[in-house]
Amino acid sequence: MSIRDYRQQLEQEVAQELARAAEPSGGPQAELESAGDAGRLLSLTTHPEAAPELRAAALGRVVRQKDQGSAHLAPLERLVDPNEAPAVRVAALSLLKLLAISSPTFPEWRPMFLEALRRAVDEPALRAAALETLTQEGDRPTQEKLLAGLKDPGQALVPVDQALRLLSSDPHADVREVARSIAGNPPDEAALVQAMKVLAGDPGSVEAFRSLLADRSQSSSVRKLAATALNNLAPELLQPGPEPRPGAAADLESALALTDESALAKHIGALIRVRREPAPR
Amino acid sequence: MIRLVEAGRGDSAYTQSFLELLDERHPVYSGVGTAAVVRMRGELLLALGHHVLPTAALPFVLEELESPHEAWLTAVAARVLRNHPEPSADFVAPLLSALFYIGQRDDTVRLESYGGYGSIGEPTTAVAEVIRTLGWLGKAGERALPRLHELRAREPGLRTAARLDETIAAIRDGAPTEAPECCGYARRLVDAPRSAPADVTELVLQDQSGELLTFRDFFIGRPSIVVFFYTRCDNPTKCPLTIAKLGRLQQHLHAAGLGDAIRTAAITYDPAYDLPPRLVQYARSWGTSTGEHHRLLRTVGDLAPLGAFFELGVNYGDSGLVNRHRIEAFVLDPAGRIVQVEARQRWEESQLIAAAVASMGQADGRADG
Repeated sequence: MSIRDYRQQLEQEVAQELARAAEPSGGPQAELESAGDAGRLLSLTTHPEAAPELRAAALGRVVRQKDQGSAHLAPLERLVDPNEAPAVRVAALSLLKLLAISSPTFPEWRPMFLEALRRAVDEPALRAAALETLTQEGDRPTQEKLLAGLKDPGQALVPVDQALRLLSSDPHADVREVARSIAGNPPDEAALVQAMKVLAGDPGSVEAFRSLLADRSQSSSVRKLAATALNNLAPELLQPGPEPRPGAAADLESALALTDESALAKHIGALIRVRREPAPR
Repeated sequence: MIRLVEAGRGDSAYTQSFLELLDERHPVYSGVGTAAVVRMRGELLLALGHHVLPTAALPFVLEELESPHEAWLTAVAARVLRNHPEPSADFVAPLLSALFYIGQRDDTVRLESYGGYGSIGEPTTAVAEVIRTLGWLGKAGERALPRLHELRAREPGLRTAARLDETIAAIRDGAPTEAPECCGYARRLVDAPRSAPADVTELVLQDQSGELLTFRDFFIGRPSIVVFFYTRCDNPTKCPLTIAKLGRLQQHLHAAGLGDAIRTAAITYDPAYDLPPRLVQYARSWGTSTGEHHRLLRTVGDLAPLGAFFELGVNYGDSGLVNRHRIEAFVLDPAGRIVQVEARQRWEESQLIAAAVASMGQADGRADG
């Protein structure tokens, strides 16, 4: 095919696609198109006979049409309604997260938003997103609930590794003691890795990181993380180890173990090489 | 402590006990999490201001307004201030500071619920309480009018607009007041210059470049201005602002030809974490310069001797992280003696420089025994 022919074909395909997009299709899209003005769209967001997907889509349209100062009102009403379908509340939360960045009046409705998020934590479909936003906003009551869940699994809202991750962004969330405890007796590797990340800047965890680095039963990821933390906290303790001898493996298992040791040695070597020079005065 | 607060709420016989509990150094805060510290301090302020807020409590209340970070504490401070017998024009600046900073971190609180986040009591917000308190000032709040008009002109939401209108009217129409200026409590000359003991003068410090030096090396021989901070401070109105202001102070010193004659130092509350690379980065981030006479410092060993000498207003949670500290700045004379302390309120660069210059008349650079 010549370039000219290819170009013609491409232009025809684009024109056909644009024509298809312009045609009203069946389903929610058609109904939204026919909803017309803002008032009807708004009533569609709460119409009891409208499917959740349609109500969620209508909510998005309403937000786009409203002025920046009041665009948050409709999604906020949907989010706080415990009887609203989860799909609509999820859509509302997503819209509000965007508006929290773009709306000039966010400082004024931030209190209502936080209240709505705290209630949304009770809805399993919304819990992760609500906790994410609440912890990003530095919400102390949420931090304390997550901490309580780490100390007492019966109160846990999310798995251990998720709770640690959510709490890790704020040093004043006071998660370090709990993280130390979890690092000493982790329920799973994901929890151990998150605990290590929380403790990566903790001078009191140097010995714990030394132990993890030396522990060959730990995964390569865990041991590399331990090496990285030690490089930051106590670089004098991080020494390059001998590279494993090639061909020393007698079977697949020991070959894999040697591969891990080799990778770890290389990782430590790289850390030592890029260690910072003393800062200028 | 909760039982004490409940027992003494509104009872002036408990005022002194509550004021002592508001001192950051009180053991009640040792090993406690930040959230718990916030709750405790809020409840103490509510108890103090339950009927009539004593003047002795004003430093703590105004501090929460001037350097706000937690909506609950700010709302409490604004509420109890309205129980002070006399509105004062000196309250305007801290209230406007609260409006500016906590406006970005506002939250719904219930002042009748312990810690603010329960279900007891009417919901309010920190901003609502601050605006209401500005209105309570009446004519004493006139200095706030330009700022309030500016906020109103930005067409805030309906509720905030209504509150602002009400407050502006209350200030404009309030009765003239002759309330005295109140709050020069933050700045104080020490009763007598306080000399550093031997365990302080020989204390080993490390600066942002990694150089080791003693307290004697840096603080004896020239007057110095000392502030405290830590890099993990999450309140932009405290440590970041302190270091930024230190940078401005340094500029004033250099402009006056005093850049070598008067030293400045910022010492970290968190020496185990604030290692030299972090000190360098923090100085750069917040605009403080460093050099032979201007350094960021950490103690190589325990901070305790320095903490005792300066009587630092700081405490730590069980993880060793600062859970509460006040704004504090010190002027040391050439003998390394503390001659001026500024605590709780934002200090003025010119005041500290003036005190340091005044101390240059101390010809004897040796520490007293």
